[in-house]
Amino acid sequence: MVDFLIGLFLASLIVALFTTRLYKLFLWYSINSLMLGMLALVIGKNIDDDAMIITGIITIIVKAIGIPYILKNLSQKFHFIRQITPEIKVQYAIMLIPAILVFTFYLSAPITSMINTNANYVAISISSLFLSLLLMIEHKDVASKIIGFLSIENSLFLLGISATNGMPMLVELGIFFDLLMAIVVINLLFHKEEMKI
Amino acid sequence: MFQFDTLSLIFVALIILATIPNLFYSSGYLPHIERKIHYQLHYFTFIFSMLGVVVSANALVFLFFWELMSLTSWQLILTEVKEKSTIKAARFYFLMTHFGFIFLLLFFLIVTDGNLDISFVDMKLIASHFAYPTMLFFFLLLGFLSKAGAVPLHVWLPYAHPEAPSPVSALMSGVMLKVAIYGMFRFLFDVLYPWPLEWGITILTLGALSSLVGVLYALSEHDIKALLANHSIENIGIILIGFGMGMIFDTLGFHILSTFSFIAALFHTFNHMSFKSLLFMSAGAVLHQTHTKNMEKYGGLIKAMPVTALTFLIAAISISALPPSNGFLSEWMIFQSMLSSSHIENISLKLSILFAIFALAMTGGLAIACFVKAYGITFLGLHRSTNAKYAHEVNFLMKSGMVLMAFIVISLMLFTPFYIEWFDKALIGLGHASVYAKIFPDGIWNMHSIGINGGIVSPLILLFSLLGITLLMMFSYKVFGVKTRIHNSWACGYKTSPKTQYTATGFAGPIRRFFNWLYKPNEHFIKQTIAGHETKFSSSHYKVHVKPLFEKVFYESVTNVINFISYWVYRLAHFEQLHYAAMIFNIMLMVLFSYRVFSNEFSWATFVLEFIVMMVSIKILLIGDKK
Amino acid sequence: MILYLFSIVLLALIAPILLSYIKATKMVLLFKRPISVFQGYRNFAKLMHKETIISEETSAITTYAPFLVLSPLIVTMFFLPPIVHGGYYVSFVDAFTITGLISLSTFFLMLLGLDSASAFGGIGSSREAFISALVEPAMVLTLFSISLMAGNLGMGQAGVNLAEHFPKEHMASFLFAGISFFILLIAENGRIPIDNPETHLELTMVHEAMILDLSGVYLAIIETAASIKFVIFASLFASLFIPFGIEFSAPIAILIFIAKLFLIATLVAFLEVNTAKLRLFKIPNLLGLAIVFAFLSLITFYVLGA
Repeated sequence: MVDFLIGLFLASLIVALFTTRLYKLFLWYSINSLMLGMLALVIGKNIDDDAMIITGIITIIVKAIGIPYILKNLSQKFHFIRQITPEIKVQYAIMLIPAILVFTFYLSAPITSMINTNANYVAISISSLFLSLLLMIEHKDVASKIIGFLSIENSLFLLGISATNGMPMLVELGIFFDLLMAIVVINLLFHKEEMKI
Repeated sequence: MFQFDTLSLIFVALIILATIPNLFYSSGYLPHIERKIHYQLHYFTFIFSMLGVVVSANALVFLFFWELMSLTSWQLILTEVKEKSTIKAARFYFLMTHFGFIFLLLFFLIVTDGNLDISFVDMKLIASHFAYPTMLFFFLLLGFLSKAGAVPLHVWLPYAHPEAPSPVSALMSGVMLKVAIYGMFRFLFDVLYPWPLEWGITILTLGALSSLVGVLYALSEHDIKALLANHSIENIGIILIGFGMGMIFDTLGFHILSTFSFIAALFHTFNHMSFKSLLFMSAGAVLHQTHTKNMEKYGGLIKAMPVTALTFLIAAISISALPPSNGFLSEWMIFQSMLSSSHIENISLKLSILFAIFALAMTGGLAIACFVKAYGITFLGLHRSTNAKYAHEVNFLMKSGMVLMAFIVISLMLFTPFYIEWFDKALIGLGHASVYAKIFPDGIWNMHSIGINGGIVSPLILLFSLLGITLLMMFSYKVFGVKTRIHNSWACGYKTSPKTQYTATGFAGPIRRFFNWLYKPNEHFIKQTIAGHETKFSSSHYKVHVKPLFEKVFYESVTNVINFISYWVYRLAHFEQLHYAAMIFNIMLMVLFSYRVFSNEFSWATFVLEFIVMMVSIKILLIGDKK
Repeated sequence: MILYLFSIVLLALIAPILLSYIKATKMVLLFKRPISVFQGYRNFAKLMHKETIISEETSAITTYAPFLVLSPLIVTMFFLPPIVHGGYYVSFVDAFTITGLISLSTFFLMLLGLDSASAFGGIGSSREAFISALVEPAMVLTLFSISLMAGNLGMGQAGVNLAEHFPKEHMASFLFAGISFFILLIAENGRIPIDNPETHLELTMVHEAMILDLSGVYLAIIETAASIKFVIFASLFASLFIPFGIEFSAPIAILIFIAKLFLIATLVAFLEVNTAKLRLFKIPNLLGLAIVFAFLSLITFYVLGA
């Protein structure tokens, strides 16, 4: 079950890399976060950690529903361009993404050998970190850069829950508030930008 | 002097199989050649010299026949000099083949210790004591692959092969390239046997690159013979993939898998000989009738030349690796050997082989596209030029040559087990394990892969079931007596004419656009618009020309560098006494340094140090201050 | 053995129904009055009664190619994994042969398009060549991956192995291979994001453009070939990626298998309603996704063993 969810997590990230429409990108991000939340729930249930179950629920509510909804509203309000063509051509992406995967899996081999439980997930979360960086690199517009940033957060979260069996509750809550703050700040900045015009 | 072990005999058989139909074809072609004696003399010497190469048992004989082969083929390209490009292509070929020859000579001088008539076994002794076997390997690679036409030494192929008369291009592409493959088999097995892992990986990489590059440039080509020549690059790549996998498996100790891969490479060598000769012959027949190599001027030739069209179709199915043809069987074997890479322990190697699988599969898909284009534009539709309209079937001798070759293609498919048993024997002779009993464990019907979870294919059952079902359907179609009416094409109500058909350029359009980053084509688009409307025009002209990237990168930049150096030497030519002395000083320094590097133990630190010293001395003494 | 032949006949009979079912589902979703699921048979019967009109520009290729388009697909039907427990299946054919046979059928279809000398046929063949060249690597890598998980490259044996030991420990790579194969199913059958089978608009035509100049029995043959191709891919997907339900007794297993086929058809119909046809030069994005997932599946299998 965990393997299945983690597979879907990576899959939704890769699909996001190939999308050319903004709302589709939000959708894939939301699915990505949903998978992450479910993963937290499943792992939390397996190791009987209430804190992790709570974070899982918060993840689903905030990241899978809240943030995409806010971003969609934002983009409607400020008339973002909804067609986002990746800067990296698909011809290169076909080769680049497997190469990144091979490379990160290869690099994380010494790290995975240190960890006893769920060793594979560390490799996947590191590679998804790189992929979300790629997502930031390949787009020029703001909205998809925000999604890239949020995906980085997601993969760090995955690293947290899979490698260390959950960070302390306080840290995770802090991160959530940071995220919400970031969204609010972005919102404010856009308002200001519009006022100028 | 000569030797006749199984490997040599296999290649002798390859040459003979390719030559017999070619003789018929060539004698049918002869009346159209002006310099008959010149042609025939070189033609027969060419065949003879290829036979000589594969049976020679020492370096001297080998090099003699090798050089004879190069020279006669060079003269054969020059048989019909009508345009300047022919001379240019021949010169290019001459240069490239001698570039390779130099490296072969260096290789032989090192492994024979200067005594050129010792046997290959003695060479192995000398080679095993040589300090830098990888250098020998690269000499071999440069020598043979410049002849075989693997990337990046493939550039001469699409120029030289189209310029030769068609029977000769069939021989050059079908056989001469294979002689280079023979050289790889012979010297890598007999002289440089224990292979490091890196050698196999090098060959695998070169093979994967060649196959992709070959097929991509073939797709963008309108000259039918240049298209086929580019396909030779692709197929040499496929052979090298099999060869490289064999070397990798051998190094890692999977002896059975290694033999399997080598057999796959040998089998593909044979198959390529058969279908590529046939394709060149059919293309030659078309060329002979229409007097042009440009595919855009063909069309509808299937009605005028049914035999040529049928033989071309057989070869096209085979080269596109569609079942149940022989091309499919050998490509299947190569795929199976690559899929057996899941046994390898080394993860990074396993992962990089995936990319080679990707390259080979992509090649397969693109080859299908390319041959649909070659066949469809050449033989189907309406004629696109007057010559194509009045074309008719070629003479009996040429036809019989093509039909004979088609039989060889079919025989390679029908008698696969027999051929594989033979290749197996050759590899036993080269000190490898026997796998025949594992490929055909229960009779000749099923071909098994060697890997643990490998697949099975049964060519004959496939062939018979396909034929049976097709014939059954055709029979029932006849029995039902469906009424047929002949009418002109509907085409959504438009009138069809030769000009409304798809062209070869248009057919390859989507693929060319997808690989635009590789092709970087020169496009010329002239449109005579009516009254400034973008979409209404009276005439338009679209021309696209693709210049191979490798030629641009490697060859033109080499020319530039040489130009630069020669200019520099020219400036030095206003010698003064001081410069003479400085030059001698530098040369002596270089000789001493290189002696140190090559005879004593090699270390990177001293090498870099000496290089810096050299540079400093050149800078100070030779160039001096800028004035 | 009887079950084996019965299942082949069943698949062949179900093939036109599946395509009509997709169309009917789409119509329901678009609030139209749906066509009958037996529309495929009606079309077939109608076409069989018509006379064949052969264009005067065509050659022997048009006379023979329709049979050669259909026959590799019929041969492929004999090599599919079994649909009941302990049923007979052909063990001597592997994944490459199946992809090869499908390519053979496509090869003749493309020649057919070029034969009638119309510009439309050329459009269709050229686009089909482009798409199938990109499908090929994804197909080979996906089948390689699934064969590693199933422990056999033979499709029949792989289906049986997967039904017996579902690869729970390789769930992630199994999933990736499944996604990749589903994209290939859509691409190879010319369903909506790749090709629209219902319009005759030159901007969107791929498959339809190639067969524009066929009529009567020949058209019926090609349409049958299209439906059989869909049923081949659907049943491969059902046996390899949804390997459940085979362990029941024969009638129930067959019913479950048919249910799986209809499930796949429903999925395709939903996808068709919800997505727009991609521009030709956007198709590589989708197929590139398939290639990346195929790679990903193999990489996860090798490196992580998951």
